[in-house]
Formats: sequence, C-alpha cells, structure tokens
Amino acid sequence: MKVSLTVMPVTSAGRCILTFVLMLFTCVTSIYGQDKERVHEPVTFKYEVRAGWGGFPFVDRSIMVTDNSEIVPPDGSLSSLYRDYNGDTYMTGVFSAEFSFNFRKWFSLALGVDCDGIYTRRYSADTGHKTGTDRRAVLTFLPQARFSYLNREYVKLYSSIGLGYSFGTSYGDSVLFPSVQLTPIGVTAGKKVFGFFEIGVGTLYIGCMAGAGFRF
Amino acid sequence: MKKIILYAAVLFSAVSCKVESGESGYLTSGQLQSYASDIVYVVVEDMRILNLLIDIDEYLSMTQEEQKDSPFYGLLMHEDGETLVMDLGAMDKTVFRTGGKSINGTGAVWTVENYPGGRSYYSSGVCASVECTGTDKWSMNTVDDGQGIEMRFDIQKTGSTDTGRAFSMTFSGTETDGNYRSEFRNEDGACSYLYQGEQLTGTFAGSLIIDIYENGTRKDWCRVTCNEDWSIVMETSRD
Repeated sequence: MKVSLTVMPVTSAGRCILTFVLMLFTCVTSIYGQDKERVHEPVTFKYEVRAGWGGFPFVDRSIMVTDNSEIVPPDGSLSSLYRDYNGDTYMTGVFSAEFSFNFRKWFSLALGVDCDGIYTRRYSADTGHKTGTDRRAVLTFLPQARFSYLNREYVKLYSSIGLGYSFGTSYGDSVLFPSVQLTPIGVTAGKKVFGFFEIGVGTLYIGCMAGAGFRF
Repeated sequence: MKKIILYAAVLFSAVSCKVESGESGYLTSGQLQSYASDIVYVVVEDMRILNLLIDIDEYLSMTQEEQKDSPFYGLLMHEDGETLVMDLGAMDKTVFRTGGKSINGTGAVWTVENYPGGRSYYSSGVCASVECTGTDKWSMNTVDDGQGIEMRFDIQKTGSTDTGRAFSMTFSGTETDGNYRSEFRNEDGACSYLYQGEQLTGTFAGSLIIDIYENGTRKDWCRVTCNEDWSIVMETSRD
C-alpha cells in the first residue's frame, strides 16, 4: 500500500517546538544541577504516571474526518450509482498516558503519548450491507511543562502548557502536524494514588480530561 | 491477546461518540429513474445529430444568396471539398465529413466528430456515423468514449412540416463503466421523435427498457414510457 505523508506547514512551528523542548531540558538540567548547591524542600514523589480520557478533539475531527456533505454526489455514471457509501463516523476521544518528572513541588515535566481513534463503517449501495470499516488514528507526542500553584497533601491545582507533534493516518495517507495544548486549570486529588480532572484547549482536545495516576 | 483486543473494542465502542452522520447512499428507485432519464436524454441528443446533418445538407444545397440568410452562414466552414467544421461549443471544433454526397442519397455515409452532446459535463464529445439506407431512412452509430456509451439507431422520417420533422426509430445501446454494464433498447415497437428546431428539445415518445449488469449478472432494470403529452411512467427493480 502506497502511503504518502503530508507535512503541514511546520517550518517555523517546528523550530518553535524544538526550541521549547530544548529550553525545557536546559531548565531541567540547570535545576537539577543547582540541586547540589541549594537546599530545597524535598519532593515527596519524584515520578508520576497517569492515564486519562478526554475530549473533544476538534482539530483531529477537522483534519481527519470527511464532511459527507462535501462528497460529490453520483455523476450519473453506472459505477457512481453502485459505489460504497459512508455510514456514521465515530471518534473514541483522546486516550492519554503520561510519565512525569517532579523536579520541584511547583514544577514538573510530563512526557505524554495520546491516541485518538476514528472509524467509519462503509456500506454497499447495492445491498445496504456493511462492506468494511475505515479506521484512522491520531498519535500525539506531547511534552508538557506543569506548574502547581496549590500543593496540599491530598490536593493540587496546576496549569500546564505543551508543545509536540501529532501523526495521523487516513485513507492510505499520513499527516503530520504540530500540537499545542494549554491547560489553564487542573486538579489532582489523592496522595500516592490520585484522580485528576483538567480543563484544556488546544490541538489535542478542547474541553476536559479526567483519569487516574500513581506517584512514586 | 484476543481478550485484550476484545476489551479494547468494547471500551472504544462504549466511549465513542458520533461526529458525522453517514451518507444516504443506498441505491433507490429514484436514482435508477434518474439514470433512465439520462439515457432518454442521450437518445434525444443523438437524434439531434441526424437533424443537424439534414439541416447542413439543406444549407449546402442552397445558392450563395440563400446561404447568407441561414444561421450556418459564417459558422460552418469548409476545410476541403468533403470536410466542414463548426464551433458548437465543444472543447474542439465539430468536424463533419460528407463523403461528397447528400445525406439523403442512398449509400451516403456522413461522419461527425466532437459533437457536444452526451449525458453530462463529463462527456468528451460524441462521434457519429450516419448512413442513408433508403428514402428518408438512415442507420446511425454513436460513440461517447468519455461516458462509455455506444448506440445504434434505425431511423425512418415519417413526416415533415414547417415546424419540424417527425421520425420513427428503433435503437439499442450499451454503457460500460468498470465492472458495470447497462444495455438499453426500445420496447413495444418503435419510438417516435418530433424535432422542432435547434432551440427546442423536441418530443420523444415510446418505451425503453434498461438492464444493468455487474460482471455479467443482472442487478437492476428500469422501464421508461414517455407519452406525447410529455408524461412519463417509470418502473424500476427497486420499487
């Protein structure tokens, strides 16, 4: 199967993302390096893993889903009368998995992988029976810088910003586009095992995400 | 592994939401009727080719003074003694080859290339070959390569007035499109066509049957009956 790759205009955006990631790592290493000289309040849990589900992925929807009203109607030819047609299109929402490094009580770096599934059943115009399913997916790699401004033993409030890339497959084609996600407000509840809920806006989703995690 | 896939499928189904409604693409009687109407249109358009040739033949038999009053004057150009060209709005000019004979002469064969007929915008132009087989009798073959349509007519002119010409014809044709093929022909006797000039469509009356095949297996059919009062009755296999 021949697969072509479409790279959305990313030249300047790509440089932005690379710069952001380099800055993050520079901050991280400098903060870590400074650890040896300064005395900081110890971080209770150095690492965190979390998994969640959220939506709505508007950008994935606009890039990866065909608007059926724009499909050219049959042109009167025989084959167009009998072409397969699309059924309803569904999206799974964004499934997220993240690993965080907690450098400070107020700052952590999260490396996340997100997946959004899209599927459309196809039907025969002749019999009305299902002839197959078109399956697509968008995979996003999204490093995020997370800033906590309320740190209690069992409750944290935070905001985060992330820059990364999304890779989508669709109808034999692939598309690569930059990903930006801003979380103005998020909350975790729990100490070692926690639940989280956050409201976000960006290419990953516009809406909210919830899930659970584990600190160690 | 199978359990994991099954649980994943159940999970995805449970959390998925519909984001786009599907097309209403199931083949209906209405679509078959629309296809049949297109075939009737092709029949009528092909009959207009014959009438255009008769008009050109009349123009060529006029004196130079009479030709100046004809709508063909200045539009129909000679390329050589037996070839004429005219811009009818197709991508290329329409070419008429007369063989040096009148279209009404028994044995005469006229050919036409790039006639802007066909079913739709997607037509690349119709080619036709018309042979006079007797007094006011012709056989005509037309080919629309862009649409994969071929037709054959046997035509008899039955009358002529100031307002038009009346014809009786039998015809058959095919359309081939990938694995699909349709075969159509007149049914219950000859059909009639009244030509009323270039500006009007004319009046077609008669019955035709269309059979649609996929890989040689009959899938659908449509029967069209056009009456002289312009009423149309259609039956399809999807009624």
